[in-house]
Amino acid sequence: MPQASEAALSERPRAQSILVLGALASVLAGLILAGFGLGAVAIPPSAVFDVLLGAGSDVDRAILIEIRAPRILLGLAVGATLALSGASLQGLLRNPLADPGLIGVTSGAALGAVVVLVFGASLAAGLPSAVAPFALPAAAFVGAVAVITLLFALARRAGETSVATLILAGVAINAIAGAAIGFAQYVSDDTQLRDLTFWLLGGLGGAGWPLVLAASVLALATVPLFLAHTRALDLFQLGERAAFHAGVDVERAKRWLAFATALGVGGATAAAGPIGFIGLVAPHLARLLVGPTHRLLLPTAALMGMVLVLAADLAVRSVVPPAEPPIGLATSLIGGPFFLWLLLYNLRRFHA
Amino acid sequence: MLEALGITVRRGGRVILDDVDLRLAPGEIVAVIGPNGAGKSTALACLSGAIVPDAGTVRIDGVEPRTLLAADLALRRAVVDQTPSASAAFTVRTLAGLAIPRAVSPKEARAIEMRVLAATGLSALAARPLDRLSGGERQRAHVARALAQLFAGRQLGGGGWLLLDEPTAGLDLAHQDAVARAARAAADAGAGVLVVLHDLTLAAAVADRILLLDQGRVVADGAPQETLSPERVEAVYGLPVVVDTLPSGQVAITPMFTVPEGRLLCSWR
Repeated sequence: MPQASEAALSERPRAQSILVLGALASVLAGLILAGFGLGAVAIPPSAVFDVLLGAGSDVDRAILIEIRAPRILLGLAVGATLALSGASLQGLLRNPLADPGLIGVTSGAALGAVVVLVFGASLAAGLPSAVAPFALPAAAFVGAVAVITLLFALARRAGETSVATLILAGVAINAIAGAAIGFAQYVSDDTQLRDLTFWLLGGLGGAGWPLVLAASVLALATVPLFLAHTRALDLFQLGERAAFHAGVDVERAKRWLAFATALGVGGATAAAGPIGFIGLVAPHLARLLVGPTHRLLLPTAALMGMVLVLAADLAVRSVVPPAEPPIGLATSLIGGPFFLWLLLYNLRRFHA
Repeated sequence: MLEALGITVRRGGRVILDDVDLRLAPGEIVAVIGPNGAGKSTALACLSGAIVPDAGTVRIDGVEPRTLLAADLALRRAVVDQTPSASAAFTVRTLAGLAIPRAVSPKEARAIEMRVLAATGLSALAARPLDRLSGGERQRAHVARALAQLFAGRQLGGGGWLLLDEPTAGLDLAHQDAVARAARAAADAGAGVLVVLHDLTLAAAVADRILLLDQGRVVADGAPQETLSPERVEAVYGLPVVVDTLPSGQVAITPMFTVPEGRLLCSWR
């Protein structure tokens, strides 16, 4: 029914959108509970609640607090920031292809993190132990900021951002960062190489509490930055000139959104490795559900990102326990086909 | 007043606007006409504050636009650029309300949306997504969006100026008329309206004053019939025209096209 598929991308009635948000929040709550309960050791919900209330057995508490809680928190932080960054970049650039992964921001963050992972031992020796856990997110943030600044500078044409140039430059930067990461792998020893390889595939299980907390604080800090720009993102859909005419301080909005993206993606990547496709898939699914208005789109995309990341994590934990395939495999396995479907779906729309 | 004093714009060694003076008063409609590349859109961009001229000054309500914040400027003037577009499938009503500042209460915003949709003949399409509109409907939706910004600005103590760059491009006759009436309604409500037009007859019908630009210079600025003398139009456009005053008082400018008349080569029986 072409009518229905066209209408699916436009606005939905407000009540329906609130229903969607409620449904997503419920699914998310279920996934969080499942994340606590399922795994190599199954813990029944009653025991989960016991631990949450401060009771329960020591073994349960150790598993839940030390292993599963940080991983769930990290999943929430990663899902929300990647989805919000993706939705904002797509809005800012008026392009459905924009995704922190595709335009190289994630690679920049990964490169920063890899440098710390490989050369960190010698660098971190001089740092006090309290600061050491933050070297990784800081390096990833620096990498992400460097890439996004470079992208917007390269893509500036006659006072406006050229989207095509930005995305092509992103592809080039992706390649360069990939080569630099390859070089780091080449010079690393066997243990580092193994760590790196797993880290580069992405995973929520590798990070301890300090890193998870750092990433979560960064993620939380970006949320109000993104949400403060919903009106600007709506107006960006008319083009930068028209957005200016309607009262948007275009350069300022771009700077804040780029900063929030670098902060969020840097934090998420440092703690969980480069996780692909969430920033692309979550906003598109959210747009199908609630339409293009960013005031609804951003919260929906954030919920959707958290749901997707937790679901993917549950999936990789459940296929061959106690082994865990990397989560990046799952997101790419879902994200890749989705991306193809998106292309075909949009082509159908054009020819309808 | 919205005024440009001796503005000059150069791009890559080419002079696009050369010492242009332009004044717009509250309540009047000024049409800017001229051949392609005459600098019409650039003049509008200078007045809107999107471009800062290389020389000369622009003043909106006595202030230079470049000294104002984008949000402050948006309260004073609303703009529809040439061939506006939206890359998201907003509904017509959402687009109409998109540029209303958050300082306007939702209830008032809704009233403004309804009013501008009625003014542009789009009330029946309010809930229709933009990707299911015809080109003409979409163009009118963008005009509605600018009108809403203007009216909202008026409620917040501004709303003086409306700048339209070829708002009737691609519209059929009745909808050209509808847009012209919307512009007149805005002027009657106290706004100064500047409109770039290609259709000289429409310009003569809608404008209180016509400014004729050629190669970046003001060739004439005055009442429609003064500006649109056959000799001057032919000199600027390179095509002879006939200027008639119809019994209704309307001025009709008919170009004398040089293309050979069409012939009937074959007909279907």
